[in-house]
Amino acid sequence: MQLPYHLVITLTGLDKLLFVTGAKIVILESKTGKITTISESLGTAPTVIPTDQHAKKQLRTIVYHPAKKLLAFVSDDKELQIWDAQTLKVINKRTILKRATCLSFSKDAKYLMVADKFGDLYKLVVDNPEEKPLLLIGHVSILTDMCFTSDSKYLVTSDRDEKIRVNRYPETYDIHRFLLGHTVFVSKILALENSKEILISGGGDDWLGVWNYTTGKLLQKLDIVTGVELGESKPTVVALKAHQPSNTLAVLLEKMNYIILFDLTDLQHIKQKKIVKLEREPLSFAFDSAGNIWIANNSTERKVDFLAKDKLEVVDSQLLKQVNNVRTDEVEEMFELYEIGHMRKWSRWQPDPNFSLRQKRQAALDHDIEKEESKKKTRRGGQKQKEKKAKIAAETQSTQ
Amino acid sequence: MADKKVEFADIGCGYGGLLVALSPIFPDKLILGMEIRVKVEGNNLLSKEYVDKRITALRNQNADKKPDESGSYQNISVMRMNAMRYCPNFFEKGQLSKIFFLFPDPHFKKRKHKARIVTSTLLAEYAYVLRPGGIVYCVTDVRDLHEWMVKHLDEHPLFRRRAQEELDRDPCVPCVLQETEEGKKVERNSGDKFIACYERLAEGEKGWKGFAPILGGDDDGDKDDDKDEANE
Repeated sequence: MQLPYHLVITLTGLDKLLFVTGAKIVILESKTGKITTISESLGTAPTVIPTDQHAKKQLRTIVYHPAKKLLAFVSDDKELQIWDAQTLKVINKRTILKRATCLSFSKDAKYLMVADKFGDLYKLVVDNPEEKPLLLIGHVSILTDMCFTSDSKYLVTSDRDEKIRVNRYPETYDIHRFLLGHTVFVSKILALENSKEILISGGGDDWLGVWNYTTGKLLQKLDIVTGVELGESKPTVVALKAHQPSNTLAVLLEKMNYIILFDLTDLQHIKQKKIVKLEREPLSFAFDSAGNIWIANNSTERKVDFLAKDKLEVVDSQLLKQVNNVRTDEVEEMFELYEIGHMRKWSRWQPDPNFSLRQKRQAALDHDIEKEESKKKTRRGGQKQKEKKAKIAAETQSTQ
Repeated sequence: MADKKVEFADIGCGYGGLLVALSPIFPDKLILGMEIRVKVEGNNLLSKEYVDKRITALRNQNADKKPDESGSYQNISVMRMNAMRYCPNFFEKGQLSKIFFLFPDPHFKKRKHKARIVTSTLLAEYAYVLRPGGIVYCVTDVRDLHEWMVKHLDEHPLFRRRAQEELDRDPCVPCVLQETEEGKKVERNSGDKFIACYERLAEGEKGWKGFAPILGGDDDGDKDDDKDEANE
């Protein structure tokens, strides 16, 4: 089974698009159509790889710094690499402590922020692999996404507990504000560039939040479910990106064959622009510099779709053929491509769907507490368990 | 009283001993106890219910007093919640003037150190709900935990340790040491009690670089999914 591309980003300023497939990176030069495949660990030729081995090496998160042309990514076996995107040379390579969930460069590209599954956010010095990482922020939950505001005064973080935190930067020990209002996990946050303090967030709710991150006010809720055939499932935002020159915001929902577009012309009243129905399940997308949209699909026969900016329709192009014709690695069995939907807390124990928000919250809290309790019981259960065992032993003896 | 907001929070209030002790000393302040445990040891009632009953009984005994009068016990209450996780959902920025962490879970295992109630990163959230000049009280009978809390609070730029003279003048200090059930138990067993009080500063130092990583020991390399579980 051929691997799909599961991530796509634009290398702004280099006229290149970058696609991630498993542990490999495929770069498409948009002027010449030239394809370059890069892999440190697996070699560049297509191979067949046992699933478990491949899953370990898979690149889960990648980030690009347009001004300094730097690229950073982390594989699931916790190896972090920073590359010069022009020369494709490794600048920094190190093993990190926990599995990373998201990355972000500081504006001056001196530091790379790495957030992990344990809710911690570390600061690494980009050009010094020896220097020890320092801890900047800690959430009591999986840290799902982060972004700097365009003035770099704040570093915003989001987590699985419905929370968005606006941290002062570089004094991240000082929380400026919490943006509260989401009712389930937050998976993606995006601070708009040079706009009046606006941040957009999405997660497991059926709306996107438009916030003023300085005042903490929720300005607008953007509907992302009307016109989308969700069926039994709940919406899960897996990708949220904006192309500000063309005032477009786009969203992908997990396992939903749509891309939802919003018009950012009037930030006080963001309106839906169009819902484009897709033929395949999208995994990731990127705006190229011109504002066209490249969508990576969970499909091997057509790995990438292209949405022309003026029509906002799926069209064909020569470049697209180039990237779709790349033979990617094969695996015996497909590994998990969808991680975000699992964050929904009521996936394993279903509360009554008719519960009010308040009841749901209480149920979640009760669940939380009971879990905590049962853990504690097992933790200091030594003595009690011994007593219990002794009691049972005595009983069985007496019955015998 | 109706338009007042909670000003003191006792995190992990257990049997509510501190609430009862502080109530008559600060009749004009609202004091809230929070407990994550469903039950407190040696009692079949839910912890919240136990403290609730205790407060209701005191209120009934003092029904002749006005609500804002000392000893009416109308200014204390309790709720069951996970304070580590939901603190900012309950309190506004700068709402609290005192936070109490009395005899918290020591989490002895190295791997569980990160779950301790006071860590450099969690202190940011406590600092958020605490107003400048507000005070955090940490009391424990476990030396190792005391040193841990002091280390993390010392490291945090928004907190300053209060000197002994300041503690001597503070009417809360005798209460936090003596009025909780745990405190009394330690006294009966003539164990040690350690106290550390920190003031929330308005501004932290400039040029701050970051905290030292909180490591749970080397044994947790593959326990990545611990947190996922805890979150379910």
